[in-house]
Amino acid sequence: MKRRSLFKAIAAGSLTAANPLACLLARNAMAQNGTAPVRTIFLFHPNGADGDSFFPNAGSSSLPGMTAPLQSVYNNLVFIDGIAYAGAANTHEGGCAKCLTGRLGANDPHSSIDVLMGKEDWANRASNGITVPSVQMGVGTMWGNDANKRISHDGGTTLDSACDPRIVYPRLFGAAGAVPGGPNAGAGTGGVETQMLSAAKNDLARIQSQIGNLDGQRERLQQHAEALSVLEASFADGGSDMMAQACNIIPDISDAPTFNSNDTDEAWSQTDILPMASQLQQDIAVAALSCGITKTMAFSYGVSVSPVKVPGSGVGDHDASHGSPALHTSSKKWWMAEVANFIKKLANTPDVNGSLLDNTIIVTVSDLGHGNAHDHWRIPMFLASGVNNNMGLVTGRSLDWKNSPHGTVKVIGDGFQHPSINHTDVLDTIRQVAGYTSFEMPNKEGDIFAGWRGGAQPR
Amino acid sequence: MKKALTRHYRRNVTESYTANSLRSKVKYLGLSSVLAFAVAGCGGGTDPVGGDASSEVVISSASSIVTTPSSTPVQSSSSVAAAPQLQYAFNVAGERYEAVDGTVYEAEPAGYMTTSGQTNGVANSPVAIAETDDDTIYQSHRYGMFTFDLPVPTGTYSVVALFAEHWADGQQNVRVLNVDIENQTVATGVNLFQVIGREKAYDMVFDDIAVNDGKLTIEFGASENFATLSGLRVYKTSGGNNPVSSASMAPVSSSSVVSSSSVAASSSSPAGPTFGNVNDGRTLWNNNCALCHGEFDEATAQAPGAFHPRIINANAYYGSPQAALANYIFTDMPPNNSQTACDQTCSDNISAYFFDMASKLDNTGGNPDIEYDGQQAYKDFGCLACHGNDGLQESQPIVFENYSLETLTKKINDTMPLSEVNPNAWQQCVGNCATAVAEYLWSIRPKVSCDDGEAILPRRVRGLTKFEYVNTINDLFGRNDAETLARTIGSDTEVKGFDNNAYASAVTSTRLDGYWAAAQAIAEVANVTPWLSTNNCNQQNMAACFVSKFGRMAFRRPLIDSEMDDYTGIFEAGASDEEGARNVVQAMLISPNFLYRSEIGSNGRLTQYEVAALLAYTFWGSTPDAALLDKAASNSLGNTAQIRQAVDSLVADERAKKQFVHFGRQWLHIAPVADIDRDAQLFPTFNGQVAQAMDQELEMFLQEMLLADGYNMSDFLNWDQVFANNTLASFYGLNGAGNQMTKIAAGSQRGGVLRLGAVLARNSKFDESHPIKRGLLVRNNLLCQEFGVPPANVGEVEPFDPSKPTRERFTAHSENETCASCHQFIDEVGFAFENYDAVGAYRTAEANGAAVDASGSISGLFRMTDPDTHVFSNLQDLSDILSTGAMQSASSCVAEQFQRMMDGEAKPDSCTIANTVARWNPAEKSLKDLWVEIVASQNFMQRQ
Repeated sequence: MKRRSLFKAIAAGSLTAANPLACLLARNAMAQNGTAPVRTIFLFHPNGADGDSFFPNAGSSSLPGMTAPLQSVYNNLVFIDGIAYAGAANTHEGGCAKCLTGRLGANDPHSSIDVLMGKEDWANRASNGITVPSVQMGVGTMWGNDANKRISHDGGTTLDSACDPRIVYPRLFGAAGAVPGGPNAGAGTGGVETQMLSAAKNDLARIQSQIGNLDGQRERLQQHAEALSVLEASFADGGSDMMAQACNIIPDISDAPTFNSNDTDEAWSQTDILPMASQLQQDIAVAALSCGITKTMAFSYGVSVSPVKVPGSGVGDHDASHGSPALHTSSKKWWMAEVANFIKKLANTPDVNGSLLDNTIIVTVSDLGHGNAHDHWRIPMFLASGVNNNMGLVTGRSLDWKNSPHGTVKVIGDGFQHPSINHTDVLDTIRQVAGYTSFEMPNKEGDIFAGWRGGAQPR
Repeated sequence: MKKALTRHYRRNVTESYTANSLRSKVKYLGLSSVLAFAVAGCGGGTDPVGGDASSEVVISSASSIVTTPSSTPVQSSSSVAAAPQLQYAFNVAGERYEAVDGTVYEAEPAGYMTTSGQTNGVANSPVAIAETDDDTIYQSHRYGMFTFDLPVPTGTYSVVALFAEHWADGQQNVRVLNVDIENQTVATGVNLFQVIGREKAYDMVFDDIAVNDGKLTIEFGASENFATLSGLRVYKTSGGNNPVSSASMAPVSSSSVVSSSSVAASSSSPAGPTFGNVNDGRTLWNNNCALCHGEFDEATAQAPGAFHPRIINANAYYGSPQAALANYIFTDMPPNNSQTACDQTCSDNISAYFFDMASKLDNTGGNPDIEYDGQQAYKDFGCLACHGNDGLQESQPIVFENYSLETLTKKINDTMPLSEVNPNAWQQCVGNCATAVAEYLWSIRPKVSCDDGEAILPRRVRGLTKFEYVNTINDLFGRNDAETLARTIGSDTEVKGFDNNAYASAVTSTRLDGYWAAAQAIAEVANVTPWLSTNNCNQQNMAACFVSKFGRMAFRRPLIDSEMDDYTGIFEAGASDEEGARNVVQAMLISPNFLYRSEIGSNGRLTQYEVAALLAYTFWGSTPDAALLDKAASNSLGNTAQIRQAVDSLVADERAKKQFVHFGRQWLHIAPVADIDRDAQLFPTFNGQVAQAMDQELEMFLQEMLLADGYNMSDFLNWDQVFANNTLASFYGLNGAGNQMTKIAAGSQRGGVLRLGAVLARNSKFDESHPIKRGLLVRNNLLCQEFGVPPANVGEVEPFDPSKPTRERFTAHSENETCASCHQFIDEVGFAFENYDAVGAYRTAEANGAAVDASGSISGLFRMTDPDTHVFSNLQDLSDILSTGAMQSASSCVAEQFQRMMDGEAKPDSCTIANTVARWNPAEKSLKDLWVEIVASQNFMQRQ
């Protein structure tokens, strides 16, 4: 959307107002000290992979079928072969529960790393200027979506990965703003929205008082209170007229179709829509990270066991995963091509001390190791960042940790003994590199700093 | 006796096959049993595949093709003359088997084999195998890339690998396998199909294998597809630097021919150790192990234990190969590295000591009748690792509800520990061990006592689900487009298939953003005029009047003064009454008083307004209407009789239909058929109209069964009518329908929940049926029989052979002991549905032309492991069986499922359910009668 048409859309009420002051504050915050904050993208792709079709041979820069579309950005990647999910339930659902949480089982209440990072960022918003703690978004995520296939968790509550740009955009760029000319005109500090939120907070306080200190209930209501605080803070950040000045990357979602039916989510997962959806969602994500609206996101390509058919495949991604490696490759490679585009967009977005990619860590995860075998071994993971990134990640490599004596030897992932590295070691390394201190990932056994810095071995 | 074709190799020689050479090889094999190949190199190590090996066959001149009895000791020209001793004989992927020649092939033990690559599995092809009388060995097989590491004393060995080709077909399916022994390639490019064809026994013999590291490593790989293997024998052909004592070798040392009676791996008769020094072992034991385990009473072969309260019985280890025990000691003893590790010689000698004691007893091997401490045995046999201290560890919980003490004992005796998931499970817990462990577990299982009455739920607030939110908005404002208006609200966190998890429905930031956007959209279009009319409010006090009246409906109770103040202020901020009203609507729709329905109660009881809300959301999935709130206001929802009366009215209301469809779909896990994607080429008659009709059929069926008079679970499972229109009737092959959905005779192929098009199509894949989903529908959803989580690496049905009938493709599930522990209860039930394809159409043949076989049996209608068995020949039979034999189980299950939805709890109180079912009396009453009984529970209005 060109800037003019965006405003036009806002005026017409098809979009809510953007939240420009947040961008301004964030970018000002970024500019302080001449350093940029580290952004993180946890990038999910569904239904595992065939490891031999996904990972290059160690030391080789030639990518096999599934990841061949990433060849053009190989120098930004670090493949890590031999990562396993620990714990129970080596299933799609178990993998979704584990992949960003480090949980050992589906009923473990640990929150996902994107949510935890977002909470810490929110606590520090005075310095980092973010307006949205963390974002859960994606492409083709809502067809077949159900609670036990979600990867982001706020305690026991699972979080959707929103795939409709017309929902994601206003949440990031103006969910809290008033619709000009609408019933809430005059929003802002002291406006009726503030009264509304004040009433909601009063109501919540009364309920909290009635419930008392009851385990489970207390935490849920506290989450609600925090959510109200986020919404309230976004009101305080002001109106809509400064957006263009604050954020010079305005996502263009003017081509996004509006589905009037009740199956909008599924409509956004149809084969012919996926390319547009991917482009728009990537644009929104890049803008949100660039403008400092948020620092962390979980970005999902598809959802586990979804019937989504990607362009060029003709078979649902999940069905393909239970076919031959070649069939699965026909589906997986489209996702990977989109990941390559995403990486390029980040690389082409200027940021402090380089590009946005130079200040971003991408971590890919999936719900399974091998899609057909339903195991949690050789999770198809890679890291990505700028070649000259500011986090010290040495890119352009493929590391084979699957048969090396790293980690601990344990029955893991596929039911057999391996010297394996928990994926939580990877997640916790990311946590440390990105500077988060309020939490640690559970069940970690070490880290991968040695590999991160260019060595072949994790620690 | 038939003899497997045997290929005889020498150590350090690599064979390389190409297409041309393979053709010639097949010819050779067909011509003669003894043929020499041209020599292209000797002692040559590996042949690089990358070279131009056009038609060369590289093989030792000493090698030849010979035909021998499949287990005859190997005597190659290069072998030493000493009598070979059988060290191992495994029936790979199969059970223990005694061959025609008396050789005992043990089941492939855990801990000796590791896999690599992504695809590994086991299968059984129950077809006759040519060239052998031991079909059993060759039918079971492993596929993938795998390596055996077999503990052996230093010496020289021969390896016999047993193969049969079950998969390759000479066309699309090609397998080319390799064998490496001790890190040297000994066979490569072997295309079994071209060598031998399918379903023929074929043995490869590899001689002169020197082992001096205590471990014989045999690797099976493939250059195309996967390796396969059916059996394995290992012979020791000469000693080494680890001689066994003459005393300990006495039982076999005098024999020059290996036979079952002298095979250490056998448990069929007493035998002593095959390696190690008994006297040294005794000394080592007494000096190092007895501290914890105690010295043996060699007359009984038992050590009573000292600090470690464990009874060790040497006989208990007797049924396993001696090498397995040695390996266990070598790997794990002493524990915790508290002392110097027991090295290989130490392990060999102690294992010899054990086997020496056992051999002197008059027993038949295996685990004798000794007394076990159940708790200790539970630990010693490695049960803790999977099941945890309480048996309920999330990784593999024991689902006690599925067992009686008797069936739990049998389960342990027959299968535990599962060797495929427990590398140390080289010893099975049988006999008294199984009894003791089962009794221990039975004593610690969670017990439900109803002596203290029904459990009372905690006080709580419950977030509106998206379904409830949408219905509430539609009902509040008389709209039908709330789903579109509320599209910014995300999905819910489920509890066992239901969308109303009472404890995980937190309002997160994302969720609140969605609520805010939805509230804006709704407030903008809501018709507030009726609320502002003079019929309802006095113009002089519009703000308070509107807030009071609308607030009562939105908050489902009258507002208190402080709430009145807040929302009146919001109203008055508007420039007009209408704007003020819209402001209040928006504000109330993001209020926790709207977003949560309260079950906080007062003095341990729900308020009557809370009862009204609970009833409305339970039976309508929506907000209470004014009439129901009026009942609360007039104290007309204060006792069970009043509540039962209210429920009668609620379920008779039109709003109940949508809610009971919602319940039914979640209970049965049947999402809309209109959303499914099926192969249009395979199913050309399945289109949007058919899918829509199937959805309507399901919904009308649920409404009829659950809300109309006179239907019970028997009808639900096996009804003689269906709802159909012309489109659906044509698809089903039925007559008598019209343009509109109507009840028609079901015929023999339809009727009841299992044969609904929606149920069948939804429990299928893109292009084929899905017996597992269908079997689970019966077990999980209809009988409330649950399973633990699948262990690792079990998702794969033997891949890529669409030519096989569906049920044959699933045989791995029953052959693999890990899979079979659950799938023995699932798959066969699912096969009953095989007459219905992936879109629910009736068929007599599968897409590949194979005739449908829908016969089978189901056991355990009440408790899954119970022995009652019921035979069926098709889905109609199964429906008959369930509608009669499972009437009570299924009725209890639907009560449990509804209670789960009503409470938003994963495990609703079983006492409450039992009491409800007792009041209900499902054998006499209709399903509709259940709803008034559910709210008649003594705890319905109570909260902690």
